[in-house]
Amino acid sequence: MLLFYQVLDGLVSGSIYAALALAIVLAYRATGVINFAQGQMAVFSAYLAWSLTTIGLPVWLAIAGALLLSVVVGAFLERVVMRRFESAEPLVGIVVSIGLFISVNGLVSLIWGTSLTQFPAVFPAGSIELGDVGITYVALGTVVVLLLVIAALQLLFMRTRLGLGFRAVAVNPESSSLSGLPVGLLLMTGWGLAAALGALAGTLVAPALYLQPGMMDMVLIYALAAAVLGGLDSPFGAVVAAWLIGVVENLAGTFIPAIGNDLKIAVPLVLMCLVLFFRPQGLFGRVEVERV
Amino acid sequence: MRHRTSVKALVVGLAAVTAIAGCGREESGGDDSSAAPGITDTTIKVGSSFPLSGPLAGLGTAARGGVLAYLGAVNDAGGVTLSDGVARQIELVDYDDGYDPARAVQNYQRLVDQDEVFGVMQTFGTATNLAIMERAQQLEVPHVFTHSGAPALSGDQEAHPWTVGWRPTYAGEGAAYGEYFAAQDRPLRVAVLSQNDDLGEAYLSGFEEAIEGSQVEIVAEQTYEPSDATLDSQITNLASSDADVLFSAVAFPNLQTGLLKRAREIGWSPTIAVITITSSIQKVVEPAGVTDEDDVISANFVKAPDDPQWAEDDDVAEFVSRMEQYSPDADPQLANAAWGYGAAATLVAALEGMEDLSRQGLMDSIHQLEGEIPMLLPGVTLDGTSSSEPPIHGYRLQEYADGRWNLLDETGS
Repeated sequence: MLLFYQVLDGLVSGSIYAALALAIVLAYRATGVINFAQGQMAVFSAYLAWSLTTIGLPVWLAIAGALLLSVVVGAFLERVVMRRFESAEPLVGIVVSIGLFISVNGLVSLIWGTSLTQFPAVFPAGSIELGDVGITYVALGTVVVLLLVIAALQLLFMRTRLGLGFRAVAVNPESSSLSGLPVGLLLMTGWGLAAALGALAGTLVAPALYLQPGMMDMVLIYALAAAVLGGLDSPFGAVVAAWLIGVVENLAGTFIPAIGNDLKIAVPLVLMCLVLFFRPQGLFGRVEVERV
Repeated sequence: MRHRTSVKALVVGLAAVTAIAGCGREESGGDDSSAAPGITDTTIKVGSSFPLSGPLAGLGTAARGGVLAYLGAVNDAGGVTLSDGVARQIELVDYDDGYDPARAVQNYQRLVDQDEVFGVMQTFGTATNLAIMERAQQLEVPHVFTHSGAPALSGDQEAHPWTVGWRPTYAGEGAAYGEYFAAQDRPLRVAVLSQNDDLGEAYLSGFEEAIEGSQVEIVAEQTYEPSDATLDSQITNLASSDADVLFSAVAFPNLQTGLLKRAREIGWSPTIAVITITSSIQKVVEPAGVTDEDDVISANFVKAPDDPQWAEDDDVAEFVSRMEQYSPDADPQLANAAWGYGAAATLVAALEGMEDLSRQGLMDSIHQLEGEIPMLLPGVTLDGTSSSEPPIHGYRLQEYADGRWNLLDETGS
């Protein structure tokens, strides 16, 4: 029973990491940048949603509104900030996104302050009883939303012209531009959609973590680990990896006394190093083929 | 591009020059006739350092707001009258340390060297205050009424004569719960959840000492990291011990709320002791959906402004109106505000009691402090005479029922 509950708890915290990992994967696939500011942008969006609830909107409507606003904000940041460093080295993109991370954090503190703010519950309280085991609606709802997002992303990338455009631009912006793709517009859309997905992640975890400028800092580290572990270009891989991280972390902390709660954070990271050593493209990632 | 860079450099340079010029003026401006630094014929300058940016900025702003609210009211009523019969205004100079011990020490040094304060009070946090404590002994400038309950800050005042804490210690709070359960005189099995650092250890050691030789026994222990997103895993493990009591020394309101909810979800209903830092009705107990059926207790030493128990209390009404008047940007519902307010009241009492208007005189006066200050729970006292305890003594245990905390009869240590 203890084992079962620990696995369940691991899936729930894994889902928190997974939601943000999906946004990171989308941004990477659409623009080729690993966005370290993704978590902080998600915080910004979650605060936007909260502000909408304070003017009387029901929480679902507020989240929908925040998603739309986040598309605009994400696209704006891409156009105004990231675009200038598009052609520079990948490292520059990373540094700029870390800069964004710090700036957005400051902006959130400035606008909304830093004290803990409660975010209204998205899913009803209580749980479904299956035998002696209770699964909360929150856990169930989060997993369902994640599965829907994976399906939507898979459809987007594999079945639509827009998705094809994203993939082309991310791999080779110059050739894409020469073959007539609206590169700038695609990059903006990609960032906008990733920001919306981040907003979804932020609002899903906000009821549990409370709103606070730093609420996603630790989640970001786990989400990055999950995205890399699962393969940066695979939404499905990112979610599976996030769940794996959550579960392995709990089981190692509970059943291996030498690890305990002190070292359990290290377990998924060691796992990540091992996987990357043998499969550099991640568990579900595609091997990059380069034409010489 | 190059042109723009040089303009930027020019602006930065100008700003630096202006700042330096500003400092120079300030330093030559003082014409204090009094012997003690920081005291003029009309003012006393005290310093502090709070986290006003970063994740703890809300708490730091509340602590600062509490100090300013009390000092503001004292100043508007004419100031503090010292032993020479002259009433002086108290001026607070404070800087942001972002909860970084290195910056806190720099701030302390700057307050002493540049601002020439008389003393420093209510500096915020444990790591920050431990860092300042060493410097304070070298510079021999009062570092008093810290915003931290770490036992080390008051534990050996002979070795650290220039530092003293304010609120009762975390170890003392742990002991209060231990004594409460030990006094029930029946076998009790306890599960403990604490933060994996000094704070958690202080709570645990106080608790363990108090239950020694009693029928109370710790049967499960778990720790958490401040970075944990949830405590579900820990609570599941603790629940499997099926203990009668959960001592939840969890210092983060969101984690404490999640824990209370989770225990209910998995059908575990022990007596739960939540620590004072996370006992806020508005931020923890109500959001967690605690009802009268749950058996939840907590210790405290100040009146919580968000507790309906004190809705009619004069102290609290005065506190809230002063917070609105002098510190509108701070959240009066946070316990940190009440602590800052009480510490400022203690400082004023210590200043009034100084026989000799010197830094040593302030420390001597603190060690003779006795009496009452606002916002303390009945039974909690001000007593600065101990050289191993902070000046505020005692905890009162409270039980949650009818949407409010209710004082229990037994007094804590």
